[in-house]
Amino acid sequence: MQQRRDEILAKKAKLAELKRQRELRSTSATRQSIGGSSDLAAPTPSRGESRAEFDKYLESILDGGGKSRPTSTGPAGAGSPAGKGSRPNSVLSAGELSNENSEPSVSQPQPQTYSISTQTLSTVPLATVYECPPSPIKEVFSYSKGVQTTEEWGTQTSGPKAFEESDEDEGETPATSTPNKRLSRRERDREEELRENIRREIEEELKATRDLLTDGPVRPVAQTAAKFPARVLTTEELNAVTSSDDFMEFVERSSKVIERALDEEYDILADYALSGQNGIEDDDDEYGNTRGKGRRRVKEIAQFYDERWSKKRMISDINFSPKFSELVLAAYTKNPSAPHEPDGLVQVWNMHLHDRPEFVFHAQSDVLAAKFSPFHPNLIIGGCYSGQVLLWDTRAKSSPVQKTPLTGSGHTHPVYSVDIVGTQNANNIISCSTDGVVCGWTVDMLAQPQELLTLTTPPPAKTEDLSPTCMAFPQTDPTYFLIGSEEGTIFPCHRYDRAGAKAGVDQRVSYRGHAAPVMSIDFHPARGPVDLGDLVLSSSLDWSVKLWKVRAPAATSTTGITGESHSVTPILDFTREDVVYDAAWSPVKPGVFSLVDGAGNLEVWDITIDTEVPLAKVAPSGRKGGRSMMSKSLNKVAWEESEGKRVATGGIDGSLTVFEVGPDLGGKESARNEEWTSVKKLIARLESTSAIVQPLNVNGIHGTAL
Amino acid sequence: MQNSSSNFSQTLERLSSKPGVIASLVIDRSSNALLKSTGSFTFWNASTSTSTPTPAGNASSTNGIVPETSTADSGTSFATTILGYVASTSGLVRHMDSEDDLKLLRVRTKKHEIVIVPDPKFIFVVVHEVSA
Repeated sequence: MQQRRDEILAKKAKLAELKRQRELRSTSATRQSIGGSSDLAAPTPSRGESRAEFDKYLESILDGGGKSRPTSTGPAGAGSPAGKGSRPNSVLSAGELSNENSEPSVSQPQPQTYSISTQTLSTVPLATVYECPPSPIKEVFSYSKGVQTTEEWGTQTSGPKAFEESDEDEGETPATSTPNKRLSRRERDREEELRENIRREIEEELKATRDLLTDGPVRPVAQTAAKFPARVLTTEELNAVTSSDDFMEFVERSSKVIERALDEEYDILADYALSGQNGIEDDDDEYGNTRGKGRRRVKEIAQFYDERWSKKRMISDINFSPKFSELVLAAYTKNPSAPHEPDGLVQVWNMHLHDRPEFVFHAQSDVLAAKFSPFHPNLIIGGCYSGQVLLWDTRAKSSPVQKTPLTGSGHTHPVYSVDIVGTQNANNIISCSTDGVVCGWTVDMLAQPQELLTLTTPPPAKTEDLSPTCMAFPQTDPTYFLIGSEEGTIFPCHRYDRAGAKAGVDQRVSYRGHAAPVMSIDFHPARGPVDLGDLVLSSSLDWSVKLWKVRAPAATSTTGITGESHSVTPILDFTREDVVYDAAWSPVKPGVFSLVDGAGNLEVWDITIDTEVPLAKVAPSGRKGGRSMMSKSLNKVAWEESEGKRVATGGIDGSLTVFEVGPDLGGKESARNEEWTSVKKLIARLESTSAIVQPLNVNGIHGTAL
Repeated sequence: MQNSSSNFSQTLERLSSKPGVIASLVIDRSSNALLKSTGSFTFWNASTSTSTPTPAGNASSTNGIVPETSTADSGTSFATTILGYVASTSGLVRHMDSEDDLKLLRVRTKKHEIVIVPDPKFIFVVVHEVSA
């Protein structure tokens, strides 16, 4: 406010200066003209005076901007000087006199023009000027006589307002009609008065602005908005509104939208012509990782962690939504320091929403496995430490919409692996617990299993017990699967009896190679010109990842004749520097897979390029405030299936990190047919070598492979 | 109930702690009341608000006069203008298709972005800075 007042005062001072100069000029002119012709004297001296009048006039309009303001400055200023000034001048001309006593009519300009027309030519231009704004001036005078009403004042403003910008020039136009004045002292007094008036007016204006602010100034909008704060809600009312379901739902929905909008990284207004900053960013790695460069780059693009929900939990499973590629779920174990929070947790994160999960689902027990249903985008299945199999629905609340009973039929041991197999119209949830029980469920009814299978270790073992740690189905056959066991052997299993084999573990074949519990098995997601669906990748705590070529279930019946166990060895062995917790094939590149290990590294391999060293190795950036060394271990890795460009990983520290791989390691457009054939060739070579050389010598194979 | 309102304040908290977020407010349309506002409305030039109904966040006023007004006042004034803006825009939408409805408003200026989520009952507004 102070600032504004100062500015206006400065402006005012300048105006006053101008006026004074003009005044000086005009008074000198007046003196001359008085000496000469009285006819001319009438209009000329009045100029300065009337200019001042008009300036002030405009001033009040300009600053007030105000129509209906009840300020008295204008009329008062206009009235009093007129009355005073007229007296000495009244003698001078009939025009002035008539002006003074005039009825508010058109007659006023007439005598003027008349008298002027009788005068010399020099005054003619003045006459023409009068014609345009006669009415405002006239009215001013009629008011000076008596009544002052704000309305009339207001109507006048419309006229002069148009002249705002060029007030100095326009100021001349009404000049002659106002009575002139000679004494400069009085002039100055009046100026003081004007200044005072203006100041008062500005103050009033500011007050009005402030009043408008509180009262709700916007008239042109709808009536509802016109008086916006109808009233201030009381605390109870406020609580009532903010705790209503409607409101909660609204907040939930709208804040997600807003956060997505805020998190959106791409600026649709980006002007690439303006700056080069938005170009290719080739940030060199800051961790000293042997992170791939250029087309083999693996770049961290997002890290998800929720202060409330992710804290002190470990990530036990990760899965990308097959339908919405931006959604990725992470399953969590319990937070030991928060006994009142649900033990198990599944958070669905959105790549476009960084700071909070899109959905949070709860379970009463640690969730050890979770997966989006490939047949229904809203459904998520999960397996718990308690042995329960859960079903969540993204349209429902956070608790599971269905769950298997804790007791009786079903699992009584932790479920480390769940899957949905079958087709769109006929699919089953298959779950597998560590006591060797495999159950099949329908999605509609989890009260009891549709099928139940108890797996046992085939005969030549010391114990019959089999404790599966992981399970994998091939793409093509929902009745056949592999089980990774705690002892390190991988067993093929059948869901149903078939020719030559009973339901359960296939006794004739086993895949032996790992010396420690198998942590993951992954079938090759063959979706290319060459069928590689029989390639299986397994990871183990024995610091290795192994590549297997599994026999088709039909072929097994021919190889096994007597029921003697036939042991198959891996065709390729990737020895690592730490325990390997998970390994997963790329969904689009036939030779590419990724693995995560206990040291906290994510590695991306391509067996068509190198079977000895990973193409890229990268660790997720440490979360600030995260724990040290021990918290680095990564449990799971998952690829985004439709594009094959993003890899998500997470582990002990509970944060989910998503990486994007370069075009040589992922992405549909770059997958070439040669890669498929070269993988095929490599496998054929490896097979022939391993058939001859036993035990397998990995280095030797590598030499021949390349 | 307690949980839900704390949820609400948490949401607002998180929103306003995001980088670049200047202010946020929630308006109840049924009672015409300001339910909650956070942040500062210093960007809001209330003097221009009377003449220009558009929420021009940048101080593009010709005179550059910034009146001293309390945050609550400018928040209210801002909310009023937002209400008017939403009303006129939903009017526009209804002219296009009477069965259509306004879902989201994003106003980008050189310096700010205003994200408005209009709902039949409430309006959620967040103002944030646009990083260059």
